[in-house]
Amino acid sequence: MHPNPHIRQGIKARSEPGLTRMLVVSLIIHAVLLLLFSGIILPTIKTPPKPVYVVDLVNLPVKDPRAGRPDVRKGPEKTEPTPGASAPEPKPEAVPLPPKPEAKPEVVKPEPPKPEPKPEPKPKPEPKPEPKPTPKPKAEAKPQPEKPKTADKPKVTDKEEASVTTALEKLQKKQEYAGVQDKIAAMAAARNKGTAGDVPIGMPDGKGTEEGVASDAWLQEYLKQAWRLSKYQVGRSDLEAKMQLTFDAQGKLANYKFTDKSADARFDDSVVRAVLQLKDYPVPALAGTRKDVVFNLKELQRQ
Amino acid sequence: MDLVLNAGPVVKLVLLLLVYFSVVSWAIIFYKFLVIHRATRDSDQFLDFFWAKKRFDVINQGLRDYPNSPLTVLFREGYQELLKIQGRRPGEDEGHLSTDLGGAENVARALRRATTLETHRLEKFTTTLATTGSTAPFVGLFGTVWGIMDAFRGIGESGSASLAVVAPGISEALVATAIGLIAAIPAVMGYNHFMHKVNVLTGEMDNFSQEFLNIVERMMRRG
Repeated sequence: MHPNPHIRQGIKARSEPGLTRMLVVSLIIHAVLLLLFSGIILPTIKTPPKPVYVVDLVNLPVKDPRAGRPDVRKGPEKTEPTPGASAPEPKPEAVPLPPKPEAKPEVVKPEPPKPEPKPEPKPKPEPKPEPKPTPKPKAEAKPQPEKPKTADKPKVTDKEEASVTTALEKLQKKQEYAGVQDKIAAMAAARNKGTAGDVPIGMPDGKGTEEGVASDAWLQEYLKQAWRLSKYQVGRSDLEAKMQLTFDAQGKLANYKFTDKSADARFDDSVVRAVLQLKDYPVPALAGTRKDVVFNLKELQRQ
Repeated sequence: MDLVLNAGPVVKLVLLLLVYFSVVSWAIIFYKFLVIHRATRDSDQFLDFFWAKKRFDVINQGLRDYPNSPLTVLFREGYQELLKIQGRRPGEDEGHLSTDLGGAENVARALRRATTLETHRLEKFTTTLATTGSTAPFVGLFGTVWGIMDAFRGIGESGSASLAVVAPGISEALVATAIGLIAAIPAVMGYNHFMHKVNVLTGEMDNFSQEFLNIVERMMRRG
């Protein structure tokens, strides 16, 4: 026995695990974890974000959409520019209207006075470069009858000349304005044609053959646009309601019921009002289906 | 990984310190787990052996089978103290003891000393766990505060307070707090667990000491 009683003899016989060995084990474990989480050994797991589609409601929903984009439209600008309710407005306004009405009334007014020989050369070059397709025939047709008039009335006073020049200047400005509008309209038309022509209407993940958007995405967009509720009407932002919609054989809304109501009556009423807008709008792609829709304020505020 | 690599030097230093804390605390956790597990297992087996045998000399010979039990140390210390008392009276046999020279008290003191030493052995390194558990979050917080200071200085220099400018610096800074918590949480859990186990073993040692003293006193009274 050791003379110092505080030194225990028993410990020497023990096979205790060395702390150094444990340090090495710990270091190895940390290194392995570091390698695992840094993506050197295992690739980092990244969940792909849920796709968000912007659906143009002009495109009809179909059951089996083909691959394409749901936010493009067909290019009907060439034939009839006024089928749609709201979207095609800029096309018909810009393309057909400006050249015709502006040219007619203003060209008619300066006809009686004499100084027409002067304006004749001006309008000729102007319409040619600016409005390429349409104004040519009109500009050509009008000056023909004017020529004989100028020959009949050679006397021109200064006042008349001044008034005519101001009128011509106005006409010139308006024509320039019309030309700019034409260009803008042409650019817009070209852009629409390009998107609609290059990318077909469909869904990004569509594998079918039908031209249109997925019925679920369409329904979601429709309800989103039909839902009207101000955040000031409800004090909370965590409200959520779930509703089951049943469609009949024609695709009309046959029945709806709450599977989960929110705690707020105004919120639920607004949801019902949005859903009821489907009642008069048969959607063949939804015929005979039953859809579960979740309404929450986050989606509404995102609009 | 990019968050760590893009951090400033102070934050990197803090992260390195926290990794060191984590490595050491996990090494202690493994070490204490093995030590206390073996101590508990051997103590249970030794107690069965102790109550099965009637003679101290037989028990003393069997102590080598339970090397990790703190109770074997207590028994050895008490038995050796008992032999010392016997040695003062060479003419007397074993089992012919008396309390006239305070022999039982000597044994009690030896047992108390052994209990203290064994408790210290079992609690060894747990203070490091406690220190890691209590300081690592603050060290991490220091790194975060420093990183946010850096980030705000950068924002001031760039003149833009958009989320794209603010967010990366703050997320880099917050990594330090996260690593601090990762180091501290297992340390605190391990400390609480091992202290509970040590308390249980200390209780067993106290009970064993009392039983040992009772036996010694009975033997001395029998004379």
